[in-house]
Amino acid sequence: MKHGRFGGLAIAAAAALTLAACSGGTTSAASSGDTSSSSSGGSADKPLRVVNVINGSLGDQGFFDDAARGMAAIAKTGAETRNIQADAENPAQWRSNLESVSGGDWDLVITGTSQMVDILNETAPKYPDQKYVIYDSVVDQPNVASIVYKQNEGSFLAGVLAGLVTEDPSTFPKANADKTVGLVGGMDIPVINDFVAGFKAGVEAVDPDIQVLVSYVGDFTDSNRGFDQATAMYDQGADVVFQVAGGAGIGVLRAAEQSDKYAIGVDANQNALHKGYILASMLKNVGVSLENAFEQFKKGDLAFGQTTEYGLANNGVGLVFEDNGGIVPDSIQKDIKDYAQKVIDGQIKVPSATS
Amino acid sequence: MDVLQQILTTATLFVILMKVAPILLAAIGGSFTQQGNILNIGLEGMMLMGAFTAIAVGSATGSALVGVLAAAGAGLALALLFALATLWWKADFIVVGIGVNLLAAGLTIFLLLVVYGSPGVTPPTASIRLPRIPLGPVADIPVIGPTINNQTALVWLAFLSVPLASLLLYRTRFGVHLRAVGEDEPAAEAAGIAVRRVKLGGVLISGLLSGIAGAQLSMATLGSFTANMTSGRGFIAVAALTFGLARPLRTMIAAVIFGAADAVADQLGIAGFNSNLALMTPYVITIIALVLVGIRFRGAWRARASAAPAPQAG
Repeated sequence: MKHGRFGGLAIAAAAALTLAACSGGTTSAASSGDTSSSSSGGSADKPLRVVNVINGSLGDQGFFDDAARGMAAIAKTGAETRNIQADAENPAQWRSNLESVSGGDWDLVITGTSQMVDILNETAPKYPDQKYVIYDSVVDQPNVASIVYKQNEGSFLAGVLAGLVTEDPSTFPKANADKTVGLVGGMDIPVINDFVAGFKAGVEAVDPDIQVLVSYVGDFTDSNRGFDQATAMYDQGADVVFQVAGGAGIGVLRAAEQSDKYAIGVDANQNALHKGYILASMLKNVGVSLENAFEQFKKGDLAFGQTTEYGLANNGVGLVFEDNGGIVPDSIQKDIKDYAQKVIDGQIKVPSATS
Repeated sequence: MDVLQQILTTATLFVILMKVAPILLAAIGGSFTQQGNILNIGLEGMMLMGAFTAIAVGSATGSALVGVLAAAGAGLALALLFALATLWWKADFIVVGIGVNLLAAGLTIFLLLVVYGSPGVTPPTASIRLPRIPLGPVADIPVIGPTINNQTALVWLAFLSVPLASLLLYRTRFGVHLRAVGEDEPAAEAAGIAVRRVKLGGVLISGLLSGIAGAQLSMATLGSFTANMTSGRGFIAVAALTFGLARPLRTMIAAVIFGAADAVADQLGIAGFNSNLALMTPYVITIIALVLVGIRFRGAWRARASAAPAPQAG
């Protein structure tokens, strides 16, 4: 049965290849062909060329899609742009993609997320003349401009919203008399705890007596556990639960409908997932920040070797109310804007868990 | 005290049954391969594939029942692949199990993208849930009533699968043959048992039940599929059946202990316990409980052994 054994190895290899083909299927085509270039630059100069190296694929309805929106806006200004997608599980591919655009063909190379930090830290010194932008992380190199988002400030607004809802059962019929709100996080890690710190501060700004329940799913995938934890919070009197748990948070949003209570979404506009139950979604506006960075780059103002923070003041984070079924009246939205203005003016200092 | 009151409610008992059902189904399925001396770590992937198929087919046809059947079929298909690779091509079953898990993880995300254009979650338009079974007057019985009222049919099936598995393993020709193969394969072969066919039966049962477990996971409460939503439940099922020595009743005890500990952990986390400790509790409680069970079993066994003289033993 010698050859039988090899057959076994072959099937294992085949399974692995099938997998590679599966995840590559969406991306390999993209990495070779997905150019959204627009060379119709109005000026007589050669258009600036900007490339976005994505360590995953578009269609995530969140981070990467928003970055692509920013790239599209940059293309509208006359620059030539391109998004390079990759296999989300293949760091070697991210590295080769990044290096392949670092040789000087592109004026600006954009990449993002903490997963690219190590790769960019090794690549940037090799190409000292290449200019880079990294978003949602910091890379301390002289030719890299870093962009970070103050999720604690956006989360603060979510906390204010939750606080206003739990105090006001007459405007929000699903709220009860208990002054309790909750937050379901993905993991007990600094970036999530930054959300927690902002949320708690926001709730406290409305009324320090409101109780805030916090739990962690333990990963970002277990939507059933997200559902169970949120349901337990609703059972304990919570009126609003803010989810910061990625895919596991889908269960939190579903729990709101099941328990006939409210939830707040994150990362993408999730309001329409359960219309009438999701008050708002908190977003990091990656696209806006990339547009800004490109504008500065064009003027020669983009500070390389430094970090720019995008918070409420420069529209880097915020709440969206669209598609929520009109459950948050304008007066409440105006109150939230007032709180945002106080943060922008420095009257309210939002605590952070990361710095 | 406050925390204890939060934990000890009938709502928690209801949640425990919900948490136990998918793990129990997969573990009972896996015990059939284990009895045939194959450790099936592909339960996770079979469950995941079932979870996706249940939503995809169920929402397309508008029938939860068709969804469950399709999920069972998806589990069967992966089990067939597993059986082909391990039984016919003699591949290592651990390697194939890993392959099945990777395949399911990649394939479900790929299909999410192709069918629904989103790599994370099925859209609200493709949502289907299992009907709940109201028990009428039985629901008024204190404690037990609210615990078992309005559960899905698959929760009932999960617990029904335990006696059924016992029956199949210990009272049928297939079961006896399967256990004989697991005990001593050459001897079983010499006795004229069709080893491969018997093992194939065990593997297919594991796929069938794991696929149904996936349907419970995605269709019971959420009504949607999210990427990698099994989150290790297949491996918990492997742990449960290993601790249970692949015997249905003991496997069920392990699964129930784990589900209960899991529900308690959620409550502890919300009550403000250190989240890492809270998330660890199910595993710690399970190990402690199983060690205690093991000690008790051994004690009882020893007592019986010393009470009866050697020739009459057994």
